Amino acid sequence: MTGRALRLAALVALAPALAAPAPQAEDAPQRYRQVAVAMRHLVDEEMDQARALVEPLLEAHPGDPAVAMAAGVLRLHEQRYDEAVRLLEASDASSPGTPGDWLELARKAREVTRGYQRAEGRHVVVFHPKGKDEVLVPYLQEMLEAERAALERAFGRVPAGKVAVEIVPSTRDLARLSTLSEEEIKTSGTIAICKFNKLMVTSPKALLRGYDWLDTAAHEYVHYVVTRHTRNQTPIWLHEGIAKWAETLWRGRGGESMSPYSAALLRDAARQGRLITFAQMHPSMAKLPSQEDAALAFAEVLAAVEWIERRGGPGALVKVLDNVAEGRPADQAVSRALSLPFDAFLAEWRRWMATRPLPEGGDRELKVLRFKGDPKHGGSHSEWADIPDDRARGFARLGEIFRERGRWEAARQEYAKAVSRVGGRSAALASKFALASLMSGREGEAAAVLGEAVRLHPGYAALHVNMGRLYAKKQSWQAARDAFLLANRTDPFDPEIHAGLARAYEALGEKALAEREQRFAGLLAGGDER
Amino acid sequence: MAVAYSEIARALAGARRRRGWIAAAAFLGYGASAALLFLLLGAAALSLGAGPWVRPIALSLAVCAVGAAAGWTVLSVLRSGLGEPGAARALAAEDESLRSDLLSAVELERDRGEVQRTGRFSVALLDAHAVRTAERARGVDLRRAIPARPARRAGLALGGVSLLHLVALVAGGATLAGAYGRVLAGEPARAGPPRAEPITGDVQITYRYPAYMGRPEKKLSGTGGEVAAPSGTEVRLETRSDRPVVEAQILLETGARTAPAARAGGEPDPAGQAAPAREGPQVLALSVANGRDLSGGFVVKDSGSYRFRFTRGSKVLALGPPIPVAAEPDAFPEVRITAPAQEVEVDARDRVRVDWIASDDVGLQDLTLVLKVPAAEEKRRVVRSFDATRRESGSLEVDLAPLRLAEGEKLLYWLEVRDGDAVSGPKRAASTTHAVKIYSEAEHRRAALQKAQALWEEMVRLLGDRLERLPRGEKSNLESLSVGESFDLRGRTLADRLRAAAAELRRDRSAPAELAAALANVSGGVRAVAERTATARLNLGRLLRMGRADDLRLQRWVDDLDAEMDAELEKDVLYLEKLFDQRKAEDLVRMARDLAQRRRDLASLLEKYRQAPSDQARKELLAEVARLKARMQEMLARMAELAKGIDDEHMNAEALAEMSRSKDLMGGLDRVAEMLQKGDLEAALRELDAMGSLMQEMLASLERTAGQPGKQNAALAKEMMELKRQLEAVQAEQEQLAAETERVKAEYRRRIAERIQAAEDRARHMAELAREARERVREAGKGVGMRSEEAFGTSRDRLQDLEKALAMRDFDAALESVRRALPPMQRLAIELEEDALTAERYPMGREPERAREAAQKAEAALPPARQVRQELERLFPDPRAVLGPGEQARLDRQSRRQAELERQAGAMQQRLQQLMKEAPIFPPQAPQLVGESRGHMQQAAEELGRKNPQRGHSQQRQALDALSRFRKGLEEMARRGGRGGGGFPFPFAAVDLGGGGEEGSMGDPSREKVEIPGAEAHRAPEEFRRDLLEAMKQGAPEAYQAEVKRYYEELVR
Repeated sequence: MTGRALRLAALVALAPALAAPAPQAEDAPQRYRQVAVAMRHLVDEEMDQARALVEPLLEAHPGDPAVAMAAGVLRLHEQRYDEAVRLLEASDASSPGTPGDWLELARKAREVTRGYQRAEGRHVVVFHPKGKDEVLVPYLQEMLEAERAALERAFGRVPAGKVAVEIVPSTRDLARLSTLSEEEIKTSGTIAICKFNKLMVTSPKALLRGYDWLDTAAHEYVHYVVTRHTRNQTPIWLHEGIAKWAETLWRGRGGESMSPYSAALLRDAARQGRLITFAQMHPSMAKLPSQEDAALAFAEVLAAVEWIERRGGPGALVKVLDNVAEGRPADQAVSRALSLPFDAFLAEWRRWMATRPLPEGGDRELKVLRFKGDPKHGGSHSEWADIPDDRARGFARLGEIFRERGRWEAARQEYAKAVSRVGGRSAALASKFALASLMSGREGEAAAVLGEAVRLHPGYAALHVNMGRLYAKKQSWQAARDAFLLANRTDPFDPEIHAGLARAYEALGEKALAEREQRFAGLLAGGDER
Repeated sequence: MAVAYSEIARALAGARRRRGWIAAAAFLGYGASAALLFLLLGAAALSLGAGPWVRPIALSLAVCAVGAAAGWTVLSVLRSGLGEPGAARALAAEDESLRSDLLSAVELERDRGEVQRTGRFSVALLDAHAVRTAERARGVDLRRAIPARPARRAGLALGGVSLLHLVALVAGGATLAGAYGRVLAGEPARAGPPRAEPITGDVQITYRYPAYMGRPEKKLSGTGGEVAAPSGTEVRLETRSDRPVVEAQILLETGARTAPAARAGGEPDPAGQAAPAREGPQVLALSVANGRDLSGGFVVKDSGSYRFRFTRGSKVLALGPPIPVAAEPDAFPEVRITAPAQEVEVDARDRVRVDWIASDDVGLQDLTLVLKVPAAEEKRRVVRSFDATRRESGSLEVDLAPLRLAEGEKLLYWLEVRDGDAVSGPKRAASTTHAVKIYSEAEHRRAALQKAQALWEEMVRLLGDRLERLPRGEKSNLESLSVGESFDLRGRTLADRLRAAAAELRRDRSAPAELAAALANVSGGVRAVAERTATARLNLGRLLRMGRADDLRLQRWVDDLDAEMDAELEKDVLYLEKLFDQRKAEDLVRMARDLAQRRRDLASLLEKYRQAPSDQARKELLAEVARLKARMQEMLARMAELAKGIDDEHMNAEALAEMSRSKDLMGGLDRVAEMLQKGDLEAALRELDAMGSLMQEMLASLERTAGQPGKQNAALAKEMMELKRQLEAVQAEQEQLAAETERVKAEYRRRIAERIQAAEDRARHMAELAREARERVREAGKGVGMRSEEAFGTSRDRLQDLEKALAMRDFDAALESVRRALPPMQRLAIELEEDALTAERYPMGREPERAREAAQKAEAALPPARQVRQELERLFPDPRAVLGPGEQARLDRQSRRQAELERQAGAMQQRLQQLMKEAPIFPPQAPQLVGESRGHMQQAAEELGRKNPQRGHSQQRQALDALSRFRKGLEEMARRGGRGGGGFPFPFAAVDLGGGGEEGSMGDPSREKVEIPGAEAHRAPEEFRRDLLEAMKQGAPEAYQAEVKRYYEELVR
């Protein structure tokens, strides 16, 4: 939902409260004006300004429904859901036809987060369900701190205070906390949202093979920063472009998230004129009809930001944001920052998309998110269907048959036949082949296979796990740690990753970290919460 | 002097006597006292309730006491009272000098004679001493010298004990006295009953049986009065007393008995049988007439006895002996189900006929059928009422349809029978419980699938072992060779097991046919490669043993064959797994259908209940819901289990999504049950409707997706369909070509008809020649060895065919036969000639003369056969000389077309072989079938090229025959696969080929060759013709011979 829409919704929501009889008629108009302004600040997520208005009003007029409404919404934005519900109930905001339905939202938030645990860091507060999700917390905090520092370097400033992150166990809960439907979430592959002054991140355990949850959380944090930087004035294409571009800053340079698949998709779409327009991206990428469309749209906006960076040099992006913050429309902001008419920018951007070099390595195919518990996303066999060659699929299946029976050498031979036909195109196949090689004592073969596969599928956790196993076997502990950490970026709920990390840290003399990872491994292996 | 000595002796004897008497009296006194005391104590113990064991103890102690006293007396007498010294001591106990004197007097007297003889002492002095001692002895008072004190004391003791007895007996009274008596005399013998004498004469008994038995009254005269009748029988007694009486009675003594409870199985329950409790005799008055005629009666209830008794007032004048009363027990009825067996498997809509036999000793009342449907209450229905018959049998039918049993469910049933016992109440017995199991195709299929899967696992093991342990690309040695040989053996064993399993599955009507076909195909494929590999390895082994290990060509050949076997197993494992998955997916659909049907049944029941609600109907409805729920649970569990094992190439994500919906159905059923309990019918119906929609969607989705094959399978199925289309095209073209050739052939036959007619006269001569040839071959047979057996047998058979054909005047067939006979005949002659030469050169083995004779006979058989051929060939002139240029040109064209068709068939064969590499969908002999067809096509082309329409057409028909058999298999496969070629590539059953493969012995009629329809189609197969000719030779009655001949001719035309 865009800022304008939210503002409109907030004002309409406020209408019944404003229409209610005023208890103190003499200062009521002034107060309601203040309430309306506060609501606008809240919708723009200008928390300090909103708080400065609402708190005194609430103190002075605790019984005023309009004030209660604004205070309730404020509390919702402060993750104080019990108070939010109480205040919003007092505001009578749940009357039929009220847009936004803050009360319903607050109630759902309260319900979803009931029993949540709170982990507070220097600039991050993580709220998570009790149990296995605890393993996410240190990584999340560490990453957000790194991303914050990187953004501060890139944009010059970042919001003060602590950002709230809520981990939700399923897309259903994500839908309940946000204004998106579950269907929209699954269709578009939306997995995290930045809204209501917090980041909402779906736990990787909700997906069959996890997902790049740290980059995703970083992505949402960029939204959080950009929203505040521009007072929520940034249009969706620019918002998403910057977020996509900056989501990898915590671990490297910006714009590294463009996969070969996305780049190829983008180039083909640009050449064939099948691009998704900025208008189509409105009001949210999550509203796009498929994960493929969403992937294309993200690639487009990432390319746009890339081009701004390339065209305008370092600092161009900050200039754009500053212009937007000053109230200029995005086209003017870009135009001014680059000293280039916007149409020219668009033309150059299209050319850039069509000619942009394809990145080496990385995913060659769209990584479709497969949600756990959703039968339409297939079972364990589905991944084999991705192998295009019939005979290769047959050999892979034979490998599986032998693997299931613990016949590693036979499995290895069958996997090898499959790999010889399709190469490293299938991450699952490469991973299985490497594992079989490892198990049958052919470490050299395993290393070769894994090296190639990891280059092609850097986001496939199982490959990193196998790599970690290999390094651990060779007692290359640093390399093992790095491999397990890479696996953890996608599938942090695999106990083997944490057990491997514990061994690596132990060997590297990081006792505290080793203990923590050992505890995580125990926690994850303890029960089938997944 | 002698007087003195005798006085001394008398005094001493008196002392001895007194002491003896005193000792005896003391013994008697003390012994008796002790004995009496023990007896008294024993009596006291008995009187106080001690057991009879007291008596022997008391008596033993008393005897011991007496014995001890006697012993003591004897001892004391011996010690002090016997002999002179003792007597002297007793007599002069207090006067020592006297005692000494007495002793010396006694001793001196004993020695007096010697003293007197020797004069050692003065005899006078001795005598004087004796006189003095005698005098002193005379002065001794015996009573004082030997006091009687011990005797007196013993007497006092005895007196005391006697007094004690007196006191005790007075105090203890009769009880102690009785007990004393029991101690002394033992337990008194019990008095026997007074002997009763008969007091009446013969008794006439009239039995009036209980009405329910329907038995007539029975009268017995001249009896001793013994009564034997069923309980409830009224007994009337009439007799005559042996004396005049005024009053007479019957004393009836019977045991009271509770009626035993019934239990299933028709036996009385021992636990329910109460112990008999005796009651006092029942007194029943008898009527007395004429002073002596007595009459009266009683009702038999239990066994016991009765007596006659004559009384006057309260005084019993006479009592008769007891006369037995035997109450005959009414046994439990019995019922048995004689058919069907304990458990039978039937279809859900069958009617099961139940044969039964019921019996009772008295009379049956009714028969009830009890049905127990799973999760429901027992249903009882009286199926027969009896008119007190004692034995009955019959049949009844159980209609299963209304019970709505699902596949695999069991209906338990049994029969209960009741007798008509109106006295102690009807007794019930039940038959053993039988079961009707509803035939479950799914269960049978599952079992078949499991069997096949077990073999599949074995294949996987073999493949795994081969991959892991079979050395590849290395230089062979004997060790590696032995490993390879073991794998070859395993391969062949596996092939055998697969073939056996295929045969077994084929016999099971529920087992999926394609499963059997697939196993047979796999078996054929594996066996073929295994045998080739084994042969190659054998050769390699020979070379290795000969020390030629460097033959790399053979080594590579073995490696290639090993790789071929791996590929064969891989292909088979993958295909079979997919086939299993396909079956499982279809099972899921079947289950879902069944579930939906049951829901509809429930809805209809609910509707009926709404129209006519009752408690009973509601109960039934709830039971039905419970059953449906149980069934649903079972199905869902099975569905989940099936889905787990299914590669989602077959059960794709959409179908799995639908399956997850099925979980909601359970909740729906719970809600239906809840609504029913509450009586909210409308809500229950709504819930059921909602469930219906859900199920419908689920079923539709499962049906849609379960049959969808994976991409690879779809491609394979498409290829197979393409092959089928190609085959159809070739076959159609071949048909057309054969028809054209046939027309030319008809023209040729028309033109030579006259010539054939004329040949009738030569037929006899040719037959003689044929017989001569056959006879010589037969004679040659005497010298035939193993090597020539085949040639001999073939020659003989074909010459026989020749004779038959000539007998029938079928010159065409005759020519064919003789042409076919000559090559083996020549071979026979050559081989026998070689044998003869060998035998002559090396005469050790066989007799050279015999071999030579056989060779000569075989050689001699050739000229007549050749002559027959020449004559027949003259009969059939070269078609080129008969047919016109137009016909010959047509034959040329047909030859070219035929050659083109053969090329098409070759392409088809290649495609087939390619498909066979991908999956075991064809049996190994399938390409041979196409090859056979190609061979005939080739020959047809050649014959047509030679302008021979007869032989050309014959080859064409044989080509068509082979093609038709192949096509039949493909059509069957397409029928199973369905969906116009987009379905699953089901296997092509080996049995459909009839190609003489190993599977041919499976006895499936479908493997018979396909008959090509149409008149004048082609010549009957040779074997058929031969059989017919043979049959014809058997002869027929004269009147029918012409008809029979015509019939046979028609058949073989």
